[in-house]
Amino acid sequence: MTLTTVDGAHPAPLRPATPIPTADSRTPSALLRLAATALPRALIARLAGIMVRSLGGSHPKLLRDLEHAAPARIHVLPTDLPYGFALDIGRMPLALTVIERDAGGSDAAVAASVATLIDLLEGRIDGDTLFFRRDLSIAGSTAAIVELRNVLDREEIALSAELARPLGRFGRPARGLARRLDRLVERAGARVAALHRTLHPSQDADRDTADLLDQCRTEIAALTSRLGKLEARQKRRDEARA
Amino acid sequence: MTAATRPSDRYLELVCPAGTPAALRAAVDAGADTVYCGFRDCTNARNYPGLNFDVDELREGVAYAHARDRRVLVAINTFPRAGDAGPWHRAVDQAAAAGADAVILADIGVLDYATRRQPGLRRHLSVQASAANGPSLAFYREHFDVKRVVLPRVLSVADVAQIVAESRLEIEVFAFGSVGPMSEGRCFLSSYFTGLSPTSEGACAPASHVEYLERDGRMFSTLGKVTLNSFARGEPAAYPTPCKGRYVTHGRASYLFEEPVALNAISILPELKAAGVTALKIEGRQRSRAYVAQIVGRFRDVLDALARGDAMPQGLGDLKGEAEGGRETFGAYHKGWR
Repeated sequence: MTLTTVDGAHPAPLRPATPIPTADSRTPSALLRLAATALPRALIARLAGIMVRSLGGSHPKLLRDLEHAAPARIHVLPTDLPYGFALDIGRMPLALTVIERDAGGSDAAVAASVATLIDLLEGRIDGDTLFFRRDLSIAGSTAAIVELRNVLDREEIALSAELARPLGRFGRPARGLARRLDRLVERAGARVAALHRTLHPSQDADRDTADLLDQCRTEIAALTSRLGKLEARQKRRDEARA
Repeated sequence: MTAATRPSDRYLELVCPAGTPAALRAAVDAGADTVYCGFRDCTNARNYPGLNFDVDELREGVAYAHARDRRVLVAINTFPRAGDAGPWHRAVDQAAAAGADAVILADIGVLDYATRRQPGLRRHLSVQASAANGPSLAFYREHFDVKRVVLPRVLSVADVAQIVAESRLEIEVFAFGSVGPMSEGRCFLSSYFTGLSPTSEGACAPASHVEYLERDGRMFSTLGKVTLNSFARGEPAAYPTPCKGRYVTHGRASYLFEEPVALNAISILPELKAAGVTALKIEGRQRSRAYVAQIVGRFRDVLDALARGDAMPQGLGDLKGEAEGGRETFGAYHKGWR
């Protein structure tokens, strides 16, 4: 193993965050994203309400903790959906509503992809790790976000189970079907992305150049910092010799 | 994966963090020998909103761990405010009542209370006491019958071996987490920005005073309205603590105290074992159960391999993916600045 020391070179860009695999309980995030894009917002809003009620039944302590948290309106903004959600905690009953992405009036906001947000909700991935890797961004009241994150992490939540609960005995086969559909959607998505890259190579090149520029800037900043330290060290040595 | 259960069987005892009951179960299931946690108040140094245990949760956590032959330690490792030692005394009594295997204490007054009122409760000396030499450790051993000390993260492996030889105490050292090159328990940098003391309120850079802003394609982190750092798009981020701020001196912004990098001692475990260390501490009660499961599982696999007499497993030591700043270091264990 090679460790990069404090005085070492700046690291290469990070790998994407990898959640802990739990295949059987995994929520079909690609399918959910597709459904969330295609379904009318009124239906999404109703599903959000059903999910909150279902969570109240299966995780009463979670609901109690969120209702007794410091009052805050938190905007949850999936980066790959055209809309977001507003979660009002610290009030009874807890409310989850659909909002425009640029809606105002929040105390805090958290943004990440649908898949990342689901992994976070289900405790498969660490929020701080996502933050270090810049796969998740937050704004506004950090205390509200930290409290929400910690309260959610106390419970073992399976989103697909919550969404399937109202289906009763059909819930289990529905989840199996959803997982199969999810794999199909994921494969189709990968093919579309590959086709898009073939048709629009210049956009990728632009993005790569921007990323490279950012990396160069970061590298220069790290080297400048290191140079400063070396200069200071040399100066101290010179002074000691004198 | 198998977790050793008797101290004599263990290569090194693996002491793991739990900020929530779910994280405690995750740590035990991933192979922790011992889990440490704290109450939901100012008596522990990770007093963040939504985190930590109430008395019932601690009792349930202890039952879960004991049913699997693992231990639970309770960190009561902040320093009482003037005229207000009640919460700390109460925490010691509640830890004893919940069946905790030991308490991790830093303050002499709290140590004295625990020694007199709960003599049957094992006492460990917290890293927050910053005790790192023979005479200091002898004082805690003789006056408070402390059984174990958690050493600060400013010592080389040779320093640790020296302390093991002269202390006659169990020695616990940090194996993964922050580098922490400060005088533990005596760092007040955060209080200058927030007005809240990390050592008696229990939170360095409390979330209530932290804010992140996006401007001109960069993310700025602020503490108490003071800008600590800014990050280019895609650049790994750091915790918003004053010690990891980038400060401008002579016209240049640089990390003056500490860079965002994680301590990872996984590949020098044989050295720590040879130095006489008893236990390894994984830091991170503020992190999620996913982090706990991942890091504990990795250390468990390596420790089990070493216990079997196998060579250090290849490819298991790299934990940069979970590290602050995406980088790792041996920290002071391999000091290069002396």
